[in-house]
Order: sequence, then structure tokens, then C-alpha cells
Amino acid sequence: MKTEDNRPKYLNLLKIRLPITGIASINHRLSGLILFLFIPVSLYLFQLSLSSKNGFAEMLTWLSSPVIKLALVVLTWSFIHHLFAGFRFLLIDQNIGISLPAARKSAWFVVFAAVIVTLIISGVWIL
Amino acid sequence: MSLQAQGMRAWLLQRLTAVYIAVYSLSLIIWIVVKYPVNFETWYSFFSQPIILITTIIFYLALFVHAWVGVRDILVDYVKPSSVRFILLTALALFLTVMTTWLLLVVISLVKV
Repeated sequence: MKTEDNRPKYLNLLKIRLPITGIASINHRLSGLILFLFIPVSLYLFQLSLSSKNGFAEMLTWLSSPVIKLALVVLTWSFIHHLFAGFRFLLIDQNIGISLPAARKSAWFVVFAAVIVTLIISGVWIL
Repeated sequence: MSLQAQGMRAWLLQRLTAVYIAVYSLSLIIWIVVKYPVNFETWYSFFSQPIILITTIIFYLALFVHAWVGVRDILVDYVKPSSVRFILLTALALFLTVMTTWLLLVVISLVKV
């Protein structure tokens, strides 16, 4: 029996072409990690906003600085993507949309809808 | 508990907390949009209501559990040396414990007033 493995091994991440379902999945992880890092910031803002009238105003000023606004756009994308992709995973758990064409289609939808909704929210509200 | 049952429990916890986090955050966002622009008085009296305070505490606890399972999955998948993995998992647990303590301090300061 021939056991030799001639399949190419690529560990160069830039050479690995992920299918769209893989992109939806890795973005789910990435967005989750970003949201995780935001936990202490959210607690700080929550505390500040409820501390006093001045604290609340301070939070609003803080939120309207340009650098923070850029961070808010990233955060918005993370939230929306994580929500959409998470909802997709819950449906897949229920055996809904598990055929490859359906899974591909929903992955395309999640990846692009997240970007489009982020752009809309950023345009209307953040920037 | 067997390893399989532990995996099953993490899987289930991740989904239950996901649903709660999604419902809470979307509700809060809708509330903010409806009341926009929100001032301090509205914001403060909103979070002083016992039901909102309790659902907010549950939200953060669900978020911490969700983050524990999620970040642990990432660490287990990408961090191979077991000593480094152990240190990072311990740091994660410690971090979430500090966050829980912080949350409780914020809640206590709200209840006392």
C-alpha cells in the first residue's frame, strides 16, 4: 500500500485561499475576539455614564472623539458580523441550510450584509 | 463529568448565552434609538429600575460565560504549547473574575443611592 503523501502543505496564511464559509467562520472568531477586548471599555463607560451628570457628559465627549469613532466602526462591524454569523450557526445547528450551496449562499450573505449594515450605521450615526 | 459531556455543556452554554446576549443588546439598542438623544436623567432612571438592573447583570454574566467558552476555543485551537496555553487560560479566568467583581461594584453603587 502506498502511503506517500504528495499533497502540498501550505502554512503560509497568505497562500491559503479560504472558501466563503471559512471566511464567515474566521471573521466570527476575529469579531468575537474584538468584542471580548471591548468588555473592560464597556464596563468603564457603563460606570462612567451612571456615575453623575458630568460623567455622562464625559462619556459622550469621549465617544465623539475621532479615534474612538474609528474604533466604534470596527466595533459595529464586529457586533453585526458576530450577530449575523452567530444566527447562521444557530440555524445550521437546527439542520437548516446545511447543504453546501445553501451554506455558501448564507455565508456570502452574512459576510456582505455585515459590511453593508456597518457602512449604513457608520454613515448615519457614528461619523 | 465525562469529556464528552463537558464539551456538550460548553456547546449548549455558548448557544443559550448567545441568544440572551443578542436579545438584550438588540433591545437596548432599540431603546436608545427610540429615546434618542438620551440624557443623563433618562439613562440613570432606566438603569435604576430593578428589572433592568437584573437583566443587565444577567447580560454581563452571560457575556462573561460566552467569552470564556469562545476565547478558550480560540486558545485551544491556536496555542499549542501546553504551558503557554495554561498560563493564557488562567489569565483569561482571572480577567473575567476581575470583570465580574467590577460589574458587582458598579451595581452596588447604583443600588445604594
